[in-house]
Amino acid sequence: MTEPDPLLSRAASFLRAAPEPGWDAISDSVLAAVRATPQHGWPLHAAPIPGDTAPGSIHVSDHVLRAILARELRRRFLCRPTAITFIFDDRDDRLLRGVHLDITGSYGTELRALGDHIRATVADIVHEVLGSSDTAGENRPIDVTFTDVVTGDPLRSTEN
Amino acid sequence: MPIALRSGVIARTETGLADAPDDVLRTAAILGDREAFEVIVARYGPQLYRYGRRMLRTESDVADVVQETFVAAWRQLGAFRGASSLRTWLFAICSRKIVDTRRIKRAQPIDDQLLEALPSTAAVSDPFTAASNAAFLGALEQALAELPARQRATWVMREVELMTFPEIAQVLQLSPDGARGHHHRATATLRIRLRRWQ
Repeated sequence: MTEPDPLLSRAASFLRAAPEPGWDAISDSVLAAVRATPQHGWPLHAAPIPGDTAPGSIHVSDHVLRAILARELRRRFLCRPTAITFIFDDRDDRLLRGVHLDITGSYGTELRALGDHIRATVADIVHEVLGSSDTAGENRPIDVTFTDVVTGDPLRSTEN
Repeated sequence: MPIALRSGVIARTETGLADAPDDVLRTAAILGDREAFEVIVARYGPQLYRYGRRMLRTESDVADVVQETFVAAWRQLGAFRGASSLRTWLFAICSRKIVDTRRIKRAQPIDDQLLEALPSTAAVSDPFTAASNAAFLGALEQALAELPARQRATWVMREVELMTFPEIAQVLQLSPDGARGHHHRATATLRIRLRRWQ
């Protein structure tokens, strides 16, 4: 095993603490490049705005819907979504039939009440993003499973 | 749209992710939460840049590699199951990008005159408190640049980034003992190159 060298150790800690102006200069362009990078997803039927009679159709990627749900749920409630799965129609695999969510909650929270709020929020968001004129209508099942509970804020707790 | 919460359901008041643990960020980012991924970029960007700067020839190469690393990470997140730490995974992507660029800073021939030109440290008991700090760090950077790439990568990840040998081995696709060997040889060389500062 290599003997620790006090001088090199201190030099390394100095290098670690030194600012990286090169990173500061490029960080905005790195973020812009990431934001411009699409993630491929599966198209979901979306209803046109009522009164719109133009030919054609509207689709929204499942990735877009999943990202909105994940962000809104963790922003609104003391919980952490860990999986969001979509269920598709047997005959039309672009038609959303249901949503299943795995959630980490927090000790002290009424999980059933939280589950109700999550289901209502998901229904609102799906309606807002996809509309409701498709045959799936307003009755898509939304299932919530609490897969874990942690002490304190689930966004600040490490997984076991 | 605000939701009236029943008692016992706690609405979130703190919505930021800046201090969230890595695995929380990873899970959120896999679900497509870009804000979570941007925290990952801010957390590990400086480390990857610092590593890349010691491995590549030019600052523009470093900028390209770090940007490509995060773009690739964003695309590949869905396939990352957490078998390694997030940091190790990012360093592994970065390390492969560095090799792919073929612009690695090659080991430079040792130039004894370089260190001869540095001021004598006979009267300087602590180079970190003396006026020669900059010269010492310059000598260290030069000595690092003289190391073969794998030795340099191993030393930087171990000593500067405080990674374990198994983590370094994953990044460089070596055995942990192989990583230890590279680190040992790098340290021995650096001691010799910097002996005037001891």
